[in-house]
This record gives sequence, C-alpha cells and structure tokens, in this order.
Amino acid sequence: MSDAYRAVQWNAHKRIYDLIIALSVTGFIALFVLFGRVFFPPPENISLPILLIRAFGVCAMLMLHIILIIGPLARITPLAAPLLYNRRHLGVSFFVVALLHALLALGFYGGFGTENPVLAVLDAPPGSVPFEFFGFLALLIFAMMAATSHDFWLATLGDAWWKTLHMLVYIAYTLVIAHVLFGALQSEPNLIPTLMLLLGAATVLSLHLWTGAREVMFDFNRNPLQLEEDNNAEWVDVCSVDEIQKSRAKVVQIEGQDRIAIFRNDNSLSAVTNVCAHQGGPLGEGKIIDGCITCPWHGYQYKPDTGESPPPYTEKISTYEIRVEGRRVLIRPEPHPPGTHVEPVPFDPWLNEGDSE
Amino acid sequence: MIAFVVYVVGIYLAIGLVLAFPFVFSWHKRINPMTQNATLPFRVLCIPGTAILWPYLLIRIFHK
Ligand code: FES
Repeated sequence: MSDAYRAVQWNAHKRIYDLIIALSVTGFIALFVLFGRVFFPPPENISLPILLIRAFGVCAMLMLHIILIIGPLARITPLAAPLLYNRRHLGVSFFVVALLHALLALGFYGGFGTENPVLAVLDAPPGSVPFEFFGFLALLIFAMMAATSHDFWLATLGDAWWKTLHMLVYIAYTLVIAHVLFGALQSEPNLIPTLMLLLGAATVLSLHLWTGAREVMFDFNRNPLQLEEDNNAEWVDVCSVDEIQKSRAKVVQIEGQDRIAIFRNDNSLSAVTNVCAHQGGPLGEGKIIDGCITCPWHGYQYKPDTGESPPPYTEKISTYEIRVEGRRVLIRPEPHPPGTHVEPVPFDPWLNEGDSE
Repeated sequence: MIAFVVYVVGIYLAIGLVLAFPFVFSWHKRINPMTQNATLPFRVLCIPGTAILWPYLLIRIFHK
C-alpha cells in the first residue's frame, strides 16, 4: 500500500510466507541432488553440475505451476487465499530459481570456451529445435515481470499496461513447455516426466477455463438485479441480511453497475465496490480484519464506512448508500466518489424474518 | 538470427543499465513524485525494471 516507497513491504504473514518459500526451495534442491546421487551412482553417475541444473529447472517448473494455479484456485476455494496473498514474492523467488538454472547451464555448457557463452548455449545445430532459445525468451519475460512486480511499477505504468505486461506470463509458460518438451525430455527414456508435464499444463488450462466459465455464468446467468422503473431506481432490494456472514460480504450486481460488496462488520452493514484499488482484486471474497475490509489478493485494507485505507495509506474505493428494511437489504445503485463516508447501517441479528413485518 | 536477437537484447539492456542510474536517483520523481523520499534499497530495486522499460520512461519524461 502506498505511503513512501520501500523495497519490500513485509509483515508477519509475508515473513512466514517467504521463510516457507526459502525452506521449500532449499529442501527441494537438496533432496533432488541427494536422490540423484543415490539412484544414479557411478559409473552412470550424473555429474553434480547437471544434477543442479536439473534440480533448479524442475523446482522452477513446479513453482511456475503453483503460481499459475493459485489465482483460479482462490476463486474456487478460500483455502487457497493465503497462497494468493503473497504470490508476488513467490513469483520473484521463482525467477531467481529459473535464473540460477539458466546461469548454471550457461556456465556448464558455454563457459570457458572461445565463443560468447550465451551464443555457445543458444545456437542450436542446424535442423534441430532451438529449445534453449525458447528458455532464453521465457527468461526475458520472467525477468521483466519480476523487475516490474513492485507497486511502484503498477503506479508508474498504470493498471492496464501493468496487467498487459504481466499477462505475458502465458506466452512465457508456453515457451517453457516447449523448452522442456524439446529439450530435457528428448533424452529422457522414461515417460513419466513427459506425462507429469502434460498433466501440469492440463491442470493450469482446465482451472483457468473453469473459473473463466464461472465468471461468465455469474455475469449472464445470475440476472443482474433490475432497476425498478416506478421508484426512479432510488433503492434496489438486493438480499436478506441473513445471507451475509459475520465479517464477510455478499457480492451483488445491479444492472449497468460494477459489482457491489455488502460487508457485515459485527451487526452493521456497509456497501463498497467489489473492485480493489490495487489491482482490481475481488474485495467481496475478502473479509473484515481488525475492522477493515481486507482484499484477498494482497491484503490492501479499507475502512467499511469510508472506503479509505487506514493511515498512512492513501487508497480509496467507492462506497454506496445502504438501508435495511426488516430483513431486506436495499442499496442505492449510484456509487459515491471513492472515500465518501457512509454511516454503516445497524441491524438486529436476532430478529426473525416474520418479526419484522 | 539467434545471435542477432542476443546482441540486440544485450545492447538494449546495456543502454538501459546506464540510464537507470539517473532515473532511480533523480528522474523517477518527475513521473512519480512519491519516489522523492524513497529508500536506497527501493532505488536499487528499481534498477532492473528501469533498465528494461527505459524507452517508455524517457517518453513519459519528455512528454511532460
Ligand atoms: S490488494 Fe492487490 S488487488 Fe487488492
């Protein structure tokens, strides 16, 4: 969140997250090398540099798949939300692992020769598939993504450009699949690694298609609530208070408007836009933590009554007028400018549906 | 072809790296005033991104 720029904005959760990444990567590399040594003893011993190149390569592939499935998974189950929260650090860690894989390969296959080591590695013999070059292009894209992952770049490039740039991950992913398929797997007599790669790609693809279809269903199937002609669309009946769990939200869509998230903080309701000011995360899938609406994507926080981030941060989101009649929640569909105060509306959680009539 | 791409990328990044220093220590604040009080580690962290996006950043500055 923005006040003055710092290199890394750590908090307790992110420190634990990063520690787990560091330990997992180190553990994976160590185990990979150990198994390589045990299962391929001399004379068919795989040399240590090659084992390390493979260990970093496989580790990078695993991390890339995790990164790519966290997003859709978090739309399906809130259990994946903690992973999504600090995906950016996972992304940068992945780049470091992929870079180490590339540097080791560069040193091992291209080092100490008379030719430029990069060209020595990338120049494929005529007629063969230049799989190293695919990896090189993918690495360039990952470098650009890692280098521009800080919020400063989001603010400098603007939301649309930043997102477009980071969508290149799918091109890079395709290049990586080609890099592995035409590279390491060509000399692999065992079919299992190829099947695992295809399974990974199928998982990424199907999860994206599934969540994409769900989004389309939400927009087209759930019939946005219609504005009523006869009362000048002043208020729209959107749901019952009983549909909103404590510290959570219900997301509603009113015809011609962005989605609105109605949050329940103790026994009062507030309505804000469902779109996070950071990167458009779905606020309604987040929850209220320490009295603030907390975005499930990267943890940006907003006060329910004003839509402002708590000081010293400066982000703001739109708020909406809300009213409770009996058990019904009504909303005025016109958003207030971001940061406008709207008094939260109290309601009696113990009142039954029939009592209110 | 591959050699050509590698040299173009290399030259592009080398120019970007040289330009990154004035950017991170001074020019960025013309585009984003919030970098005025940024910490040194943050500025160092901006070097790779600046080396990659330097043409865009130059255009932004000259446009102003
Ligand atoms: S915190 Fe990043 S999108 Fe909400």
